[in-house]
Parts: sequence; C-alpha cells; structure tokens
Amino acid sequence: MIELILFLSIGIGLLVLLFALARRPARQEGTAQALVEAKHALRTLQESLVAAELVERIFDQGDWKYVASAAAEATKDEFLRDRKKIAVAWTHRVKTQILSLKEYHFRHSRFYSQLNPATEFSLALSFAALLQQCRLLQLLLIIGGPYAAPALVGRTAAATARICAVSEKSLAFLNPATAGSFGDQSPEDGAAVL
Amino acid sequence: MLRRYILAQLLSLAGIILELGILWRALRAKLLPRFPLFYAYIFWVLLLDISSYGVYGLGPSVYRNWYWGTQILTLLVGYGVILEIVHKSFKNFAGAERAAVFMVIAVFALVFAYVIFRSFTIPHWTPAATYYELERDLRTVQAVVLAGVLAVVFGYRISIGRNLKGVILGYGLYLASSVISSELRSYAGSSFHAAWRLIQPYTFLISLCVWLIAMWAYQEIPEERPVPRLDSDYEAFAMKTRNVLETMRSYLQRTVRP
Repeated sequence: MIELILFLSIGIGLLVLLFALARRPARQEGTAQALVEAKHALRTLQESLVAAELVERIFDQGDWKYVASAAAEATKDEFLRDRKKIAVAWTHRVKTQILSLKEYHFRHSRFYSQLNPATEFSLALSFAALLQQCRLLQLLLIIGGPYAAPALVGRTAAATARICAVSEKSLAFLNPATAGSFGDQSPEDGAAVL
Repeated sequence: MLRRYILAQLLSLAGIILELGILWRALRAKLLPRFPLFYAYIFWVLLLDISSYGVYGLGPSVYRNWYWGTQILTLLVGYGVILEIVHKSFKNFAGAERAAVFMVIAVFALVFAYVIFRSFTIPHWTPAATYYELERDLRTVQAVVLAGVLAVVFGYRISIGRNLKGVILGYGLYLASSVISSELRSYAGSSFHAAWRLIQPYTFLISLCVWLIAMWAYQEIPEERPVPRLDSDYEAFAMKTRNVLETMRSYLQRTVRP
C-alpha cells in the first residue's frame, strides 16, 4: 500500500508540474525589466511604507487612547476595524518585500557558475520559513487587533528598512550616476557607451 | 478479439505516421542538430514499431522476449532525452545548471540508498521481480528527475521556449502515465492489464501529437544575459542574502513574542 501511494504521488506530482508548465508563458520576464521593477518597488517602500513616521502613525496607541476615552462604542469599533485593516495591509507589504528579495536573489544566482546548491537549498528553506513567520504575524494582527504587539512593530519596520538598504546596494548599478560613469568611458573617437 | 487486434494495428499505424511526421519536420525545420538525443529517441521508437510487425510473426513468446528487451533499451535511450532537457534548459544559466545537476545526482543517490536499504531490511528482496516492475522503477527515476528539473526551472524563472516545452510536456505526460498505470497494474494484477494495454499506447499517441505540434518549426529561446555585476563572488552574494534573512527573522520573532 505504501508503494502504491508513493508511486501514485510521484506520477500525479509530475502531472501537476506539467500542468503548471503548460499554463506558464514560454518566455519569462526579462532580467533587466525585473531589476528595474525591483528598484521601483524598493523606492516606493523606502520613501513611504517603512518611513518611521508612518509606522508610528499606524501602530501608535495614543490615537486609540484618545478615541477610547472620548468616543462612542460604535466609533471605537470602527476605529479598531480600520486600524486593523491598515496594520494587516502593512504586514502584507512587508511580506511582499521578502518575496521581492527572494525573486531578486534567485534571478541573480542562476547566472553564477560558482553557485553552491546546498546554500541555495538552505536559502530557499529560509525564505519559506520567513514568509510563514510573516503570515503568522498577519494572523496575530487579524485575531488580536492592531495593537497585538505594539512595542515590537517598529523593529519589523526597521528590519524592512534594512532589507531595502541592502537591496538598494545590490541594485545600485541601476542608478543614473552609475550609468553616467559608464558614459564617461566612451572613447574619444565619437563612439558612445549608452 | 478481432476488434481489439484491429484497434491495436490502427494505433500502431497512427504512431508510425506521427513518428515519421516528427522526423520529417525535424529535417525540414533543421531541428535535428538542435535536439539530437530527442530525435535519436524518436528514430529508435520508429525502428521498433516497424520491426515489431516482423517479430510478431515469429510467435508470441519470441515477441514477448523481444518486446521487453527493447523496452529496457528504450528506457535507456529515454535517459538521453532527460539529459538533453537538462542541457538545453540551463544552457545560459550556469548557476541553475549546477543546481539541476546536483539535484539529479541527489535523486540517483537517494534511489541507490533506497535499494540498499530495502535489500538489507527485507529478506530475499530483489529490485524488480518482473519486467513490469523494472520498467515502472526505471520510469519512476526518470519521472523524479524530470520533476526536479521542472522545480529548478520554476524556481529560477528559466525561459525554455516552445520546442523544449513541447519535449518536456510530451515526455513527462508519457512518464507520468507509465508510472501510474504500471503501479496500478502491479498492485491490482491482471485485472488492470486490459486497461494498462489501452492507456500506454493512447498516452504515447498524445505525446507524439504534442511533439509534432511543438517541434513543427524552430523557435528561438529568448536569451537572458546576466547583468554587469554578476562576475563577483557567489558566496559573498549568498552570504549577503542570508544575513538579511537572519536579521529579518530575528526582528519578526521578537515582533510575534509578547
């Protein structure tokens, strides 16, 4: 019976992968385009999403204390509902950032001839584990409300900002300044490095 | 009985026509040098299909021995198709190719370890008691390797193009159906034999149709060139990703703890 389940699982598993392959477009997104998109996403996150003021604004208990002391029950409920929505959306964006980093890493590492398969495998597991943690955090916010872990949300924001910083360094070659430095290398005979 | 015989003959004839069609398109579209191992497989299958008519006349026992002997050889030629899939899929991606080769070696190591484990734990155990089981086992190894290759293709977002996609789909479909039907036949015994005799040729006909369509003309695989900074050290790059992951994990852990 175990053998039957094993062989059937292998056969059905392969069929599922083939189905996914059949549905997949023959051409994947180009590397350059994906990198530019990653750069754009990073800028959006850094300039707005993980800004300390915004995180403080979403998770600050001062607003809640004010509403709780002065407003009617219906207003309190509405306030908590709205804040929870915002907090969950914020966590969702953090998750998106991890996914973006994952995408970026695997899109790059596939070109490395010295790639270490064991390192890649362990990184793939780490990404999966971290994404699960993010989902758990999202769940906690959904169940416990926007102030389920008030003192520690800032650290998540800081970590996200750090990821942005590291990713930004990796994507620095896409900056106009770098392009300029390539331009400076143009030979004097009129040919240009574009 | 006569109806079944006529149906088998028609299926066989349809197979030969499709195989000839695939080889004809290979010559017309100049695909032969691009996928030599795949076309060697098709040519081998065509050769067997045509010669089976002559061997069948020599008697059922001669045909049975010839059939199983050539089936095992066909399986080995099929490994060439898998090799071609690995080689062509990761031609422009040195890192992904390394991961795929590692995965293939890991699969063979696992199979070897499984055989050793079974032979030590079960008295009088043999890897395959019948030709059916041997075929099933060898095709299962191919199926696992192909599934691993597909996992690498998906994980690294590799563009494989229409031709290679067709080769993988056709061969994978045949492999998956072979593994499932062979195991069901092995489990259910002769009661599944009639179904097995139908599933195998029909699935192979579908695979031949997929190949004929996908390999009708050559389609260039869009080449993806690495970005300028990728000559730097891989270990440093992987370490950087790992550091970011660890930092992120520690913050998240602290976030979820009360």
